[in-house]
Amino acid sequence: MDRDPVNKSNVAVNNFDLAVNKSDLAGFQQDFSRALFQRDDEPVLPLLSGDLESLNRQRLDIYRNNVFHSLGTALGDLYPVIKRLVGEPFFMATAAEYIRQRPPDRAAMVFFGGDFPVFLQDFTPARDLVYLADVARLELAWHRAYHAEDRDPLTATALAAIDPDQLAKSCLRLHPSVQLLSSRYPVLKIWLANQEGADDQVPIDLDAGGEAVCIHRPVLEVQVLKLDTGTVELLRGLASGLRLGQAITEAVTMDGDFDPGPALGRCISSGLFFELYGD
Amino acid sequence: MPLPSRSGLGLKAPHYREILDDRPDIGWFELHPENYMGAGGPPHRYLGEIRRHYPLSMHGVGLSLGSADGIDPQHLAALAQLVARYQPEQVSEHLAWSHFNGVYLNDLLPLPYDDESLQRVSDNIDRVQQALGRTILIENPSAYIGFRDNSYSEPEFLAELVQRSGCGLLLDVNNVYVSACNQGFDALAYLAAMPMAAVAEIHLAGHALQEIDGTEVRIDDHGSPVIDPVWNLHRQTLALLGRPVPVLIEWDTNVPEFEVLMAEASRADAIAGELFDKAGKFSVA
Repeated sequence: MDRDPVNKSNVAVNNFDLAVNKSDLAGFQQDFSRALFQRDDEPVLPLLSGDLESLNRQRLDIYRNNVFHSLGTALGDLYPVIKRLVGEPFFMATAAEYIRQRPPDRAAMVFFGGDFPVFLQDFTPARDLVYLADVARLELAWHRAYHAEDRDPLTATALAAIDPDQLAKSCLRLHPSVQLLSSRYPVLKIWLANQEGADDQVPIDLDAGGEAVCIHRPVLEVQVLKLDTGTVELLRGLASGLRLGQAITEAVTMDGDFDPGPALGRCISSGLFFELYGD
Repeated sequence: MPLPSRSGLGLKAPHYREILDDRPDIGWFELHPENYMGAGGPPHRYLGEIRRHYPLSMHGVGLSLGSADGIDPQHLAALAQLVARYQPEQVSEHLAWSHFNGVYLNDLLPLPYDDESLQRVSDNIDRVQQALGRTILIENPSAYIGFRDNSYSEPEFLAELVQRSGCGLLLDVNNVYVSACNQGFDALAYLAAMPMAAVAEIHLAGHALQEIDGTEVRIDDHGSPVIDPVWNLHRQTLALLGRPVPVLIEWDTNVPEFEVLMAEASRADAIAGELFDKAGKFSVA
């Protein structure tokens, strides 16, 4: 799994403490931001009308609550399985900590929450749920596939028209919605058992081996496919720019049982490819 | 083409299919452009189809016109792209701020009404209007706090913005009611001071009531029907305006069945029907 090389947490907090040459408005917005994120109301209170300081503190709570509730809700919409696994109160408390450490830098919520899996990995109170970060990665992959650029997948008919030797020397670009994920835990089983209406009483053996998953959206509906080791290698090879022949060789090396013909056929019929290039 | 002077509804994802299947008789739809800033997927597919059948209003929540550090160029570019793609009849934003130094707070936060804020907001509106190649409407916010040292009342501040930037106004009647209750000002005096000629759209919504230390505070949560005092204030607003305008029913949390929204929209249309004739003139003396 990729890990975020940059620890943003200190950057975010320090954003309210930058010694910039401030106007009054910038100073006020810095103070107000700090009041909302760090509960330091003192610099803001003297600016407010109304005589009751206690009332104004609670009115600031309304804004504080709006910020944390709306962002926590947006995060819960992106990570419904995580919310279900840890329960709503724990999720909202986790979200609050995440928001404080890594607040959004863009107004569109579609971009918010991308580093939540990395945050979860290092979040001590959830340490015992070892699979949590990988389940979050699966949910993030679903979200990214859902919002990915719309493209028509390459069809089996189009590929069948190409000479096999030529095809082996070509590269295949994955469809822009394709997200690949490998975990040492049975992430897909966990994810499926926590979908609405699913039977969540089936015991899941965490030591039963990992799972690899492909999540993509050929047209309107997001698809979730469980992949064998060889197919993951094949797709990762193609994603890294290998020619099809090379990617197949690598996949067979990694997985002795890998049968490239049917595997490739399944990838094509699932709509995982977007275009042929580089012969 | 301006929006039609009748009721519109906020566009919500759970209603996409029903709208396309049933083509309800509603004047227009309003959407938050922030919800369509992903590259593709179902949101764009449905919006594209709905756009073919209905006029659209793009009502932003993330431009942060009051930010001291200016407009986020990346966000403005994304908005400009959406406006170019869907060609909405109208574009609007709030008189509020929501980001400081690169941190986005996801709420419409209040501004002190003084000369510096006026200059800053006016510059920011100019920048947006230039980028979009059109004028936008600015909405009066709901507020839970007020500022001791304001140099302008909210209507005065909005009037200055209209004069400086040429923007229009989106008058949120529920926000007037909520702020008037929370800050203890007279809603009718507020309306009387508004530059009504610039008002091109009205918003109506429900709000929640909370008690803090024995004091009632009204929370603008858009999660329930419009209450009767707000309908009354809306009627008085239309009387002051003297002309029908597009009226939006906003419902953003606990979104109900589509037919509940339609019933609210019909009520708004009925009020306009009582006040104005088909030519948009007062039908009652």
